[in-house]
Amino acid sequence: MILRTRAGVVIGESAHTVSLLSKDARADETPLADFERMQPLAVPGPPVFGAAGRLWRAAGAVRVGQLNAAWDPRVAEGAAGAFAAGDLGARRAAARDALLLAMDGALDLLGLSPTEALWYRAHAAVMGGRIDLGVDLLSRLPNGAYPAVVPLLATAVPRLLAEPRLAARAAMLVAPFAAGRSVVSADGTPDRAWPEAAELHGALVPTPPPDAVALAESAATRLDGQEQRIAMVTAQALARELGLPRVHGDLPHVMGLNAYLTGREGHSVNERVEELFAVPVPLLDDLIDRGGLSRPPESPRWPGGARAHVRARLDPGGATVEELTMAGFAGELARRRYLAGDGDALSALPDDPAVRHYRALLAFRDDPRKVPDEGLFPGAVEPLTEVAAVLAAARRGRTVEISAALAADASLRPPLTDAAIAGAVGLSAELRAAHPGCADWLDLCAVRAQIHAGAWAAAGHAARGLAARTGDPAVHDEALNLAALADLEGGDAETAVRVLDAVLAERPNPRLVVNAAVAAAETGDLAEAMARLVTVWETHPDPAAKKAVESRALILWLQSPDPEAPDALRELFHRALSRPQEDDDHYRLLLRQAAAHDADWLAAASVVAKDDGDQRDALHYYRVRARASSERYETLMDEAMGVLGGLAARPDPAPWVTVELDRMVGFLMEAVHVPFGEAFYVLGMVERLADAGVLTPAAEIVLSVQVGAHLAVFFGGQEEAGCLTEDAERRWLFRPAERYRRLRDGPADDDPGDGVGEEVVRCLAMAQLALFKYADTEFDRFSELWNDAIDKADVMQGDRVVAFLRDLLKDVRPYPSRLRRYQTLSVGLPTEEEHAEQFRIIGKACDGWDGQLERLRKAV
Amino acid sequence: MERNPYLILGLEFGASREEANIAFARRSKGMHRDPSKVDLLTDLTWALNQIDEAEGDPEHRIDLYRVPAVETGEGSGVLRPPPLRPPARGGDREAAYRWLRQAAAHEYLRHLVAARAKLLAPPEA
Repeated sequence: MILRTRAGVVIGESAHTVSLLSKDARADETPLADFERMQPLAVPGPPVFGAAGRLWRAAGAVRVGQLNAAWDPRVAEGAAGAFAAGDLGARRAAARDALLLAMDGALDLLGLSPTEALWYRAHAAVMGGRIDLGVDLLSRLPNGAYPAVVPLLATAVPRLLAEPRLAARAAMLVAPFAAGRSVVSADGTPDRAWPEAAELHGALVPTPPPDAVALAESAATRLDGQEQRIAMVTAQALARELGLPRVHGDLPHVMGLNAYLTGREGHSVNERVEELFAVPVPLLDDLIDRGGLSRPPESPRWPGGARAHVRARLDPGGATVEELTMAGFAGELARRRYLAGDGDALSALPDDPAVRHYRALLAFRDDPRKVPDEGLFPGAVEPLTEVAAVLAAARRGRTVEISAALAADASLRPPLTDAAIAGAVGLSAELRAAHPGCADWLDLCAVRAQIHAGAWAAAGHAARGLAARTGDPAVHDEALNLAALADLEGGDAETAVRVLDAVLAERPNPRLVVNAAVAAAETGDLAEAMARLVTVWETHPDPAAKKAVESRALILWLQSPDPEAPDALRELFHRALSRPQEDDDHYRLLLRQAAAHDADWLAAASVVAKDDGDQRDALHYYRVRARASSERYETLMDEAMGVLGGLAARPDPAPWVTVELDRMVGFLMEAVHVPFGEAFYVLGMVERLADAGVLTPAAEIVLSVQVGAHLAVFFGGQEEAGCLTEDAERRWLFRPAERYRRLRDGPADDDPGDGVGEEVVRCLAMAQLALFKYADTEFDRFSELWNDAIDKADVMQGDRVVAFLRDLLKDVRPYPSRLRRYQTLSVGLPTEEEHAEQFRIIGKACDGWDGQLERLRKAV
Repeated sequence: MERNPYLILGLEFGASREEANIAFARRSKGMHRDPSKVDLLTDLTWALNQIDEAEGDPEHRIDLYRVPAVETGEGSGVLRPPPLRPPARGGDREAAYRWLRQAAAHEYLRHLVAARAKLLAPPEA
């Protein structure tokens, strides 16, 4: 016995021995009995059909390291070639093994015919899941020569049906085996040589074959067990046109047919409407006409046209314009355009009896005195003719009793309302009883007639009577609305508010809410009126209406004697500013009011502003203003003017900025024209605006000299009097005065005018007078100190006395020249006599001071 | 109270400029020759101008009393017609039925043949 421990492979065999390759390239002849005692070894790879395949697989496994062996794989491959060159059976097995082992090239070496090799390749492709390649290869085989195509493609049906193009090509391959045979014999039994081929072909063809029902019946028999039983019942139901059992799977036509058959039998299919998307439109119409379908579909699986058609038929009022257009239903489009009063859009619709009718109706609605001659549906002619007749009678001052048809048709009342208010529409007692809605309408018209006539008491009485007797809540509420108006116009706003409140307590109505606010505004109770407006604000979703409420609330408050903004108004503005405001002007109005009357809130509130910059600028400016007004901040109005100046100095300032700047300049002008000395506080504001360079020359000159004069008088009037520094004097008085002189003497267009010149002189005079008074006291003080020093000269060192006296002289010496500067700048300017007199007197005083000072200077 | 141009002209709140013109013409008829109606004519003219020159939606006027405030007498009729149901599109319903039945049979046949494919053993080459 030979003990072997390595994996070997048989590469040849004879009657009693096998050639066993176990190491290197040498094979040992091993007796069969010994070989059969050896342990078989599993080799990785697919199951193979022949000896060649076995050796190819083993050699391949050795090459890639999947099999541990000491023999040379080339020897095994050589032996495989020998096996593959054997008889036809060995060659075919080798062909299949070569394809299985992805040795496609080996196939051409086996001596098979090209078509046979093609078949093996096609088979391998289909089985390997490469269906498109398989169908491609099968198409190259002789047509009808390979019946094995049928079972091969039968295994691939799900993949083929998933690709209609492939399915159609596969159908052509199967056709030779399915064609030319009748499906059912004369006695009703299947008469098909190869029924599976016929079923496969029927399934693969792109359009339903004529014998689809019979083929389905036939195919049902090929399933197993419960599946087969269900399939046969279903197929038989299809054949006998009976209702089908529920079928699982995505089978829209089966599902649609099933639902249709249910509806055709008289049952409602509303619950199954979404199953009908594959049903042709004539059958959907059939279901609608039979009453089996009344619910419009929603599912997007429905084709757009069918969906639009069904929706338009079932719910024409609810169908979209797109759906109506797609369904070609001009009648409903015309009705909508008529109701919207859109004559142009109505004219644009294609001619159609319904379109003509609505055009004629619109013409009548525009002028109900004349009934159109053409286009109206027959049923509309008579009632419209009666309306026209009533109106004609009304024009002649006659009252006409209307017919039952007119009394019953509420839509015909609007054109008759004016005639009814005028008393030209009558209604018999019998028709009043039969048509209470019409009677109520006439009674409301009667109340309105009294309202128009100003008969408030009678109108209120009639309206309350109507409200008490009507059974229609809408008429009840409108009657009380008229009663409240009568109360209001009659001077009893409190009652009007109570009446409207009672109605609103039952049924909210935005218009009645507004009316309650209008009435509340007349009670004189501002808080009450504001509360009502807040309700309107909350009720109306429309931003424009909210804006109107905000404006109205502001107006009511401004018209009231109350100087304090009511809390409700403040709260309303808070809410208004916490939501986007489209209108920039309104937005700034709200901000301005908040800055002026609700500064603490605006100073810190979270306010919404649009991103376009303008609202953000406005918010920044008014917030700084609010902070300047709020005690919680140390911000000054100077900073607000700094912000405004910055905005106004931009190359293209927003219009509101220019307006606001004008407003603030006006405010400052008003502020400075008070007794001198009182308006020193505007200094910072004027300074910020002047520094920004946004003031006109005239405004800047006037405001500057005013600031200078106010400061001079203010300092001079203090307990410890002072005067302007020389820098301040130059900045606020001398330079503006010099600028005025330059502009006046320059081009005529630049001349700020005599008015500005008068302001300049007046301010120079006031400031000079203040300085003169201060200088006078300084001279008195100087005299005392001088004399005192002279008196003490005997006891002091002489040089120290002289130094002290010289310092005294230095302190007072500038005053005369400063005072003369005011006078000099006013020369040639429009000067009032009192100021001219002042300049002369102060000039003389200065001369005197100068003479004294010169003498003293020489003395020391 | 704010003067209400609609009430002065006897119009419903929110009436159009055209309606205001008609109402003015009707109410002012003959007033031009009657010295005692000068004030009334002035009121009517003011009201007409108010409506004529008004901008935006009247519903945004919060200062004016609404008459009517409540919609009454709503209902369909000749001048407020309900939607008409469009007719059936036409077409041969019998042919459509035959087509649907055949399409359903074809679909079911495909369903069965596909179901059977899962039961088939791989064919020999």
